[in-house]
Amino acid sequence: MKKKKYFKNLLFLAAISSLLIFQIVSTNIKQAYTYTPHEINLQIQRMNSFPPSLARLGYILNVKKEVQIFEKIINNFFFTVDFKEYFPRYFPSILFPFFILGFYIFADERNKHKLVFYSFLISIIVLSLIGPFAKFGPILLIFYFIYFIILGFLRMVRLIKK
Amino acid sequence: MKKFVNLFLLLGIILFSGFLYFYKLREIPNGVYVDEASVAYNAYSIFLTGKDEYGVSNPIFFRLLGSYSPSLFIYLTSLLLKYFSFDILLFRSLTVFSVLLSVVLFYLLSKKMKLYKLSISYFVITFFYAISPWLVFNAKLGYETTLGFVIFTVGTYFLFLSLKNAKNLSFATFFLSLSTYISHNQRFLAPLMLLGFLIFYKKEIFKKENKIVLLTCLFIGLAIHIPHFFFLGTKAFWVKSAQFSLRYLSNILVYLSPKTLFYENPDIDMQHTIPKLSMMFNWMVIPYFIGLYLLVKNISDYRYKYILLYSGVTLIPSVVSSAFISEQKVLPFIIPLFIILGLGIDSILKRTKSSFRIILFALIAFYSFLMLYSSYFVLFPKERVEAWNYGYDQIAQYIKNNPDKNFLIDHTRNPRAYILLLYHLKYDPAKYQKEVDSFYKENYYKAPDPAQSYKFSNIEVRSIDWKIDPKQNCIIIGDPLSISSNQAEEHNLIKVNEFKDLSGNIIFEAFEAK
Repeated sequence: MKKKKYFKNLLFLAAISSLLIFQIVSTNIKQAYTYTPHEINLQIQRMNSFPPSLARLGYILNVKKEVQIFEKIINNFFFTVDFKEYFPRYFPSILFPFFILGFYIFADERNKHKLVFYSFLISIIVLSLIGPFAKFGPILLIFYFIYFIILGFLRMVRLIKK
Repeated sequence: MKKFVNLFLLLGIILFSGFLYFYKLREIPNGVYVDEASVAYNAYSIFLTGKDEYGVSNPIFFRLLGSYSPSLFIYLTSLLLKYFSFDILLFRSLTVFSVLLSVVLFYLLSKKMKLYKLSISYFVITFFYAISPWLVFNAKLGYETTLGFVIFTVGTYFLFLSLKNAKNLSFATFFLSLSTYISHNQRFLAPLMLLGFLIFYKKEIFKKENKIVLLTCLFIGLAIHIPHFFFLGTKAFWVKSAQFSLRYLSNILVYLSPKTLFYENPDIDMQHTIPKLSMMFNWMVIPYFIGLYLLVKNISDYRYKYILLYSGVTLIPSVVSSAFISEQKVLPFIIPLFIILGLGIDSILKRTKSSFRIILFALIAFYSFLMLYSSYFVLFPKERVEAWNYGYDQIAQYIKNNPDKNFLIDHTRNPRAYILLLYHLKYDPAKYQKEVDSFYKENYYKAPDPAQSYKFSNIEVRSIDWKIDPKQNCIIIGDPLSISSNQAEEHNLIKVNEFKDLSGNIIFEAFEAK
C-alpha cells in the first residue's frame, strides 16, 4: 500500500516537474521584466511628483530597480491568481461553480494531499516569477484547474445522489 | 481596565483616520467633480431661494445633471449653509464625519458578530478598514453616496442585532428606509437587504412574540416611504432602473476577482481610480483567500450566513446595473468584505507568536500607509486633475475679472461643465432660475434629456459653432483639443490666456477674434 502511494507521488512529481520545465521554457521571461518607453517616462514623471523633501522616497518607490522588479512580480502574481482570466478564456463559465467547490474541498482537505497542495503553491510562485508571456498560456495552473473542476464535479454528483 | 484600553485603541483609530480624511481635504481630490458641484449648487440654491437650480420648490428627487438623486444630503447641507460658508470643504466634511461613524459601526458590528478568536483582531481589522484606499477615497467626496452607504450600514447593524432582540428590527427598518432618501443606490439595496434578511432568518423573525415588532416595522417602512409612493408613476423614480439586465451577471466574477479588489481597479471612470492602487492594499489578497475559505467552511452558522447575505445584496444590484465596473456603486460591499478579511487576519495572527504579531502589524501598517501616501496623496492629485475638473475655478476667476466681455465655453468633452461654472462663480441661483429653460421646470419629473447648451449672464456653455462663433465678439475658452493652432489661424483668433495644471500642462486656452 505504502509502495503504491510512493509510486503515485513519484509519478505526480515527475509529471509536475515536466510541466514546470515546459512552462519555464515556453515563457518569454524577458518580456515580463521589460519596460516600454511610456512606462519609463511615467516612472520618471511619478518620481518628480514627490515634494523635494521626499525626493528620495519618490525615487525608491517609482524608479529603483529592485522595487520595480518587486512590482512586476506582484503584477504577475495577480495575473496568475485572477480566476476571471481562466473563465471563460480556457474553461466555459458553467464550470466555475465546480471549480469553486473543488477548490474549497482541496483547501479543506489539504492535509490529505499535501504534495498537490504544496506543488500548487510552488506553481503560483513560479508563474509569478516568470510572468504571463507563455507561448501556450499558463498550462501549469490549468492542470490544477482541471483537477479542481473534477473534484467539485464528483462531490456535486455525490451530493445529488444522497 | 480592558474596556478602557479598548476605548483608547478605538479612539486612536478614529483620531488617526480622522486626520487622514481631513488632511488637505480641499486640495485632494484636486478640483471639484461635477457631482459635487451639482449637489453643492443645488444646496446653495435651496438655502437662498427654497428652490433648486430649475426653480422647482423643495423637490423630493433632485434633477442633477439629467439624473435624479434622493434629496436628504442636499437638504442637510443647505441647513448647514446657514452656519458655514459655501465651499466644497463643507460638503466633503459632512462625508468625513459620516465615514468616521462608519468606522465605529464596523468595529461594533464585527464585535457583535464575535467571529474572531483574538480580541486584538477587532482593532487590527478596524484600523485597516479605516485606512483602506476604498474608504479613504470615498471619505473625501462631497456628494451623497458615502452618507447613503453609512446610514445603510447603521440599518444593517441593527438588522444583525435584531437576531438577538427583535425590537432592533424597527431601528433597522427606520435607517434602511432613511438611506433610500440619501443615495440612489440605497433605493435598491435597502429593500433587498430587508427582504433577504426576512427570507434567510424567517424562523428567527416570524414568531408569534414578534408580531407587534413586525407590525411596527411595517408601519415605519410604509410611513417613511409615503413620499416615494407619490412618485412611483414618474419616470424620475425609475430613471436608473431601466439599465438593469441579467446579462451582466457574469460581471460578479470581475467584482470578486482578487485582481480587481487588490491590484487594478477596472472602473472606466478615471474619477474613481487612484494611480498604482486598487480598492484595497495588495497584501490583503492572502487574508481574502483564507477568509473566503473560512466563510464557506462555517456557512451553516447564522453569523456567516449574514455575511453571505450582506455580500450578495450589496453586490448584485451593482453587478446587474451596468456592463462596467463601478467602485462607487458597490461601496456597501466593503463591510462584509472587511469582515471576511478579518477572518483571514485573525487566522494569521492566531498562528503567530504575540511578539511577532506587533512586528508584523507594524511592518504591514507602514507598507500600507506608504502605498496610500504615495498613490493617493502624491500621485492622485497630479494624475487625475482632468477627471476632477481642475482649472474651472481659474476660468471662473477670469470671467469675474472681465465682466464686460462675453464668453463661450466649449463643453464638447465635458457636457456637464455648466454646473462647475455656476458653482465656482457662486452664481446667484434666483437669477439662474429665471434664465434656465422653463421646459425643464414644467417637465421636471418626466426625465427629459439634458440640454445641449446653457446660457446665463454673459456666458454660454456649448460646443463651438465654427460658422458663427469666431465672428462674434466673445472670448472662446476650451481645452487644448477645442481649438488647434491651425483653426485659430484660419478663423483669425488670437490666444489671450491659458490656464495650467499643477504640472504646468495647459488645460484650457482662451481665444478672441483679432
